[in-house]
Amino acid sequence: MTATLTPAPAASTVDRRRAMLALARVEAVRQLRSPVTIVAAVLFLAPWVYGWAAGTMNEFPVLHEESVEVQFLAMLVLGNAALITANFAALRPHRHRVDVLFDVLLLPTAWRTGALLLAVLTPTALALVLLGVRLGALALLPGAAGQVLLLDVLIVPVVVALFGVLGVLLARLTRSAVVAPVVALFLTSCAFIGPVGGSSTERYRLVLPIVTPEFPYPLPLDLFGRPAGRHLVYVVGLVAVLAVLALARSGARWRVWVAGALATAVMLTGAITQFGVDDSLVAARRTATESPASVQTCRTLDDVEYCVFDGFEPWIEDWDTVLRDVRRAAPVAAGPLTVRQRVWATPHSSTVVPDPADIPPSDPAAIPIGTEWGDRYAEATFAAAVSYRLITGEPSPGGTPVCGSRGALLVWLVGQAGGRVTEGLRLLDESGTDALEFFDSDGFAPLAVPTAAADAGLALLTKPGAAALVRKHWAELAAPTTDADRFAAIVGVPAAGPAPAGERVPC
Amino acid sequence: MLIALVPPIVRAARTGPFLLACAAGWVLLAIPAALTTTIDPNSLTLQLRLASVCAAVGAVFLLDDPAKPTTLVVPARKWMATALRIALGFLLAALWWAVAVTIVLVGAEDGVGGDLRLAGTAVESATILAVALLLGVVGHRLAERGVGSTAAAPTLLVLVGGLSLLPRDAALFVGVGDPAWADVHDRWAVLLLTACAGLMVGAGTQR
Repeated sequence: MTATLTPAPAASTVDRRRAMLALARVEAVRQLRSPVTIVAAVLFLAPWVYGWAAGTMNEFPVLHEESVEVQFLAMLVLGNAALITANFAALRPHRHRVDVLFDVLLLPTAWRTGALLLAVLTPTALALVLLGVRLGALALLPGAAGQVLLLDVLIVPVVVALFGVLGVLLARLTRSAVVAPVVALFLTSCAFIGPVGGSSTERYRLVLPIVTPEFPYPLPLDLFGRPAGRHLVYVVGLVAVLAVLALARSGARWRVWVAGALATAVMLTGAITQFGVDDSLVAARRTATESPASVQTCRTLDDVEYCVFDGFEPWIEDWDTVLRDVRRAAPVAAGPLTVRQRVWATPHSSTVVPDPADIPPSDPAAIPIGTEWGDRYAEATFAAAVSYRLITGEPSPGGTPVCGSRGALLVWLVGQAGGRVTEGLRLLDESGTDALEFFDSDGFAPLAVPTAAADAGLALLTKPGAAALVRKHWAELAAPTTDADRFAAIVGVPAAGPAPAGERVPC
Repeated sequence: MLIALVPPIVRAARTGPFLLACAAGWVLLAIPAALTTTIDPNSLTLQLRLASVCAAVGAVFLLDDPAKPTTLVVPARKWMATALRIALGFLLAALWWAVAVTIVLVGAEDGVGGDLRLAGTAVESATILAVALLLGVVGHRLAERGVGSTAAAPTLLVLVGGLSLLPRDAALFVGVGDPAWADVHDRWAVLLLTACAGLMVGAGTQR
């Protein structure tokens, strides 16, 4: 009789730990097998695989830029999937009405929450693997510049863990199944309003889970200046704080508050230290912008000298191909040329086409080229800069459009190069309104050709025997006094006539 | 009988999650509306789309019926109850949309509101809602206990996420200035009709 009244011995911590790990294992596998996780993984890789299969992928990625840019899609797709699966897993007992039985089981609620938090490690690991596959494949491309930033890559799985832990916390706050999808949409919406996608120089963006780059184009690695390590500490601290809140909400004892205090300390340390401004970085950026020659290495191919920032050497041969494709069609004996990579790494307004007066001047003798390549726009812009040099023998025209026969000839020289250069010309032609504007997001050496001249140049592209005609009449076509109608008459293409008053570009 | 069913169906349907999701959708639109920065029409359209998906996620829950095992024996036709729930979803969503558009237009700075193409965006939202309800019907029919929302709601998110990642040639979500807007919205209209037909089949083939 007395034996039945003796309370059963309480489960030891060791038993509980084993039970928790067993539950965590089951939940981890379930999360990995969840259709949401699988579809999210497919969605994350699909655009990239499609680009690869369709041949539209950029074969000249800048790896450190890719390490950062990939974070946005990864956060939205993999992070939200982790949020929903973790939340639904935590609510499953309630959904199936078995939570009322938990009081008679070995494992208290706080330990169950602990198991669910541990299970978030599977989507975290999956994110790391997917990112590894994506960046690894990019790094294997022969045209890959720069290098993969390990700390920035690690941000992604930690952010996925953050979303997963948030899902568990939400389940401990409310049992409604609609909350997780709504919060996921809410976070997505905030990501589009806030400085997360695209580029931003807002300081407060550092307290968001992922840090967007400051400039809309890649910077050389040593100018990149991201507080990735300290930001990683901050996000890890944030994950720990949310985990502690979920445990505390499940009735964990005082020890969890100690952990909470530690987590908060870690989070604050990371959050505050990442705001430090590095003066040497500011100086290095100014040097690279205003006098790039002092920090570049140069390589000469035949009579052309290519000067690049560290890490961009794999692009030189492809630049050379484009330069020679343009040069072959121009019967001028241009002297030795210098192609210098430029980057605009000082703060400036982020309009699409910068005011030429704002562009930092340097080395007018060199043909400028940006830090992007392979996107078609950069190819067409570089080909235009080379063509302008061959036609006029002068440096970039600044803000003045290239009018008359010279403009038409420039467009033809770019278009006849073929391949990605011509594709880029077509893309620029589609986006321009009253002029064909050559620019990439680096913003150096913008060139504009009024529509009338550009159309004559484009028309010549479809005419057989154009190369010989251009060769024969080069001197007249390249003269500054020849107008677009004369160009059309010489090469035998229809003249465009005067542009409507609203679309006329001052020459 | 249909009229007599209205009060009990309205009472039994899970309107709580739907109302919560609707309110969240409004908040989602109210935040950028309250900001004083000028937001371009494409971003406003994106916000409107996200808010519509938010409301549609809530609408999925209208089709949940935990009483499914017990209602098999009641004399009322099952399809009538489902049809009423769908009608309730469309009705409430229409009211929600009117308020949502008002929030966007009132909050839009510098006359950006005039650049929005609300008719086309409304077709998109209606399609997303119809697809959500269709997923709800399918979820309800497949779930033994009649609660299909836990599968249907994430499915809707995944589906919309997949559609938003379509390559340019096949894109369904395009900017307001895109020359393909009209063509894309013809496709949206076809999708809406297909989803409505699916709803009719899904609801109508019940007892």
